[in-house]
Amino acid sequence: MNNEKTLMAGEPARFAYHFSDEAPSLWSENLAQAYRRGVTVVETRIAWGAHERTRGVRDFSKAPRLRLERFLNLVHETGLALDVTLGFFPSAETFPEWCWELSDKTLLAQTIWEECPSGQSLTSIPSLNDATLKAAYTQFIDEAASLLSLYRYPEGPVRTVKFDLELYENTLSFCDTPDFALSLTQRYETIDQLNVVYGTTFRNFDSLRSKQAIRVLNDKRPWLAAYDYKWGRAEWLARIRREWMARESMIAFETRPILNPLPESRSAWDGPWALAMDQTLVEEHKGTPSLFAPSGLVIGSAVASLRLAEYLRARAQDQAVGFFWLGEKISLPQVPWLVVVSSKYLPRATFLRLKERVEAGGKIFFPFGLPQYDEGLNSFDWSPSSARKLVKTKEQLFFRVKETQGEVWWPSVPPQANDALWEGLEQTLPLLKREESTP
Amino acid sequence: VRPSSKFFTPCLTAAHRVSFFRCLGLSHYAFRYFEVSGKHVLSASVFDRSKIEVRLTPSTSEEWLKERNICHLPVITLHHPSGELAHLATQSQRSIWEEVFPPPFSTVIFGLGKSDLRQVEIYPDPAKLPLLALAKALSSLEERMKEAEVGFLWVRNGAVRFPLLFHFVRRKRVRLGSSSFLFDVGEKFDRGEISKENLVEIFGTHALLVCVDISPLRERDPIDAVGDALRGATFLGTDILNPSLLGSTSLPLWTP
Repeated sequence: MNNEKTLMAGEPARFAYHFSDEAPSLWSENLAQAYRRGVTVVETRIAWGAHERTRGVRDFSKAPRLRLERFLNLVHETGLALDVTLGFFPSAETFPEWCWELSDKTLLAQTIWEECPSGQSLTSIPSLNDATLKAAYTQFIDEAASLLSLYRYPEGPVRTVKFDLELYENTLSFCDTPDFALSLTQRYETIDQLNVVYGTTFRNFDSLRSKQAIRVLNDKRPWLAAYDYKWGRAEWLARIRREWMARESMIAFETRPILNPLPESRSAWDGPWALAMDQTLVEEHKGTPSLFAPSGLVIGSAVASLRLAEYLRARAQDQAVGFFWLGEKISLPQVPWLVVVSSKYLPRATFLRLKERVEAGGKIFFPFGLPQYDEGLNSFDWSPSSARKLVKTKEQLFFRVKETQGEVWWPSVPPQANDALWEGLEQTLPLLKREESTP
Repeated sequence: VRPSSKFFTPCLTAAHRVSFFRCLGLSHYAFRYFEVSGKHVLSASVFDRSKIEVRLTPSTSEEWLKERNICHLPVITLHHPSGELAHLATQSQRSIWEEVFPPPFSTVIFGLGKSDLRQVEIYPDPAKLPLLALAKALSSLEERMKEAEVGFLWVRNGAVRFPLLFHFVRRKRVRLGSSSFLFDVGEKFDRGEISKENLVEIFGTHALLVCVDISPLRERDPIDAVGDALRGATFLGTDILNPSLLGSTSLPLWTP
C-alpha cells in the first residue's frame, strides 16, 4: 500500500516497494509506473522470514514473489536505482516461523511491532542474543549479500545496502542480558561508584540483573537509570552492527552518486516557536513515543514523561506548532523561541547543542526549570560572567540569563502538569517576547 | 487489471484501518478511554466525533475512579497487571476484527474473549450492550464469509466507500487487505454490473460479496447503525441459507 500512496501523492523521488509483499506479475508495471511519475530510487527490504520458510533452506528463486534476481533485473531495466535494507524491521515476515519457537525472547512495545498506536501493551520477539538466531541470520545475509553484490551500481541497480536493527533499538529486555551489567561496568568501573551515584548498596554488577534491582535503580534515580540503560543498549547494538558489517563488506557500502541527486529534505520549522522534548525517559520510535518500561516494569517518572509527551505532541499538532525530540541525530528547528521540556537533567551532548544555539542568538524557555546536564549532577552555569536576572511580569516571576547573543528563560515556579498546561505556555510566550528587548 | 496472484491485496495498513472505521461511521462513537496499571494511569483520552483529545488528567487510579463515576460518556478502561505492562504473544492468533479495526477500538471490542493479562472494563453497564450486539453481528458476518474462499466487504456510507477483501482457505483466514482494484469492483456492483458469475471471474475463485450500506442509518447511534446495517447487508455469490444467523453467533466478550 505504501507504493500506491506514494504513486498517487504526486511526484516523489523515492518509492518504497517491498517486492515480496507484492504480486510478482505486477512488479514490472508498478516499477514502470513509478518511473513515469518521476521516481528515481526504489527502496526495498529483504525479509528473512519470507525467504527462509524452512529452517536452513533459503529461497531466492523458486517462489515467484521471492525471485530477488528477477526483481533486481526489472528495477535495472526500468532505469531505477535501488536501496536495499537487510535486518529486522516490523513485519510479519521479518523472522522465519521457527524463530518464534526459540526460548530467548526480548520485550518490545506492541505499538512498534504493529507500527500503529495500540496502547502500552508489550509483545516479544526473538532475541538477538540467541546464538542459533544469530548464526542462522548470518548465513542468510551471506547468501543475500552475495546475490546483491552481483547487481551493484553501475552494472546493476543496487545503490546502497543498509543493515537495520530497527526492532532492537527499543528493546525493553536489555537489562535482562549480561551486556547490561557489562555496560554499567564500562560506565562506572566499580560497583562502589555506581552505589554512590545511585545511593544504593549493590554488591556487584551481576546483582543488577533482576527485576527488583531495576526497580531500585529506577526508583532512586529514574532519569539516570533510563540514560544508563539506553546508553548500554546503543553500545550493544553498535557492537552487533560492527560484527555483521565487518563480515559483510557489501552492507552499507558507499556508491557513486545516483542518477538525479535528491533535494535536501526540509527539516526547518518556520513557526514563531517550537517544542523540543528530551526523550531519555520515553521510548521513541519514528517520532512516536511509548512507555519506557525496562523488563515491563511501570515506572512513575516514565509514565509522567510519556503522558506529557503525548499531550504536548497532540496539542502541538492541533495548533500547528512544531514538536521535536531532542537527540544527537536530530537537528534543532530554526525558530525564534524554542521551548525545551525536560526533567531536571539532560544528556551532555543535548545540553551542549542547546548552549550552542543560545550562543548563536537563540532563545530558549525551559517551562519546567533549568535542567542540569549529564550524570555528574553539576548545575551548569549558562554564563558565569552574567548573573541571573529575576524578571517580574504581571502574572509570574521568571529567571533570565543573557548569553553572548541569546537568552535562556525559566519560571520561578514550574507549571502544574494538567490539561491547562498548553494554554499556560501560550500565555507565557508573549510575556517573554515582550520582556526580551528589556535590557 | 485482473490480479493474477492469490496475494492480490497488499496488507491492511494503519491508514486503511482508520478509513474503514470512519467509513462505518464508528468514529462518531464518543467514549473516554483509559489504560491503568496499579496506581498509575498510563493514558487518558477522549474519543469524540473523529477527534481524539489526549488528556494529562487524571494521573492516579484514585482520580481515575472519581472521574469514571461522574463522566457522561461511556468509559472504557484497559487494566494492565499492577506495576507491569501486559505482555501479549506476537504470534497469538488475532481475530479478523482485531486486525481490521484500529486500536483501541479493536482491543476493547474484539480482543476481549481471549486469555489475556489485560482486563477491559466498560462503564456503566448499559454501555456494553450495543458493543456486544455489534461484536456479535461482525462475528456472524465473518462466519458467513468463511464459506467462500474470498469475502469481499463493500461498505457504503453516503458518498464514502470502502472495500475490504478477506481471503480464507478451509475457513481459515489467510490474508486481508484493500486496494484500488477493489474500489472498481465495488463501483461496478453499485451500477449493477456484477453478477454471481463474473464475481468468480474477477476473483478467480468462489467469492462472496457483502454490501453494507450505512447511508440510511446515519442519524442513529453509530454502534447501533453499524449493527443494523450488518444485519441488513446485501449478499451476492451464495444464497443466504438463514439470514437470522446474523446476530445469533455468540462472541465471547469479557465482562468485568
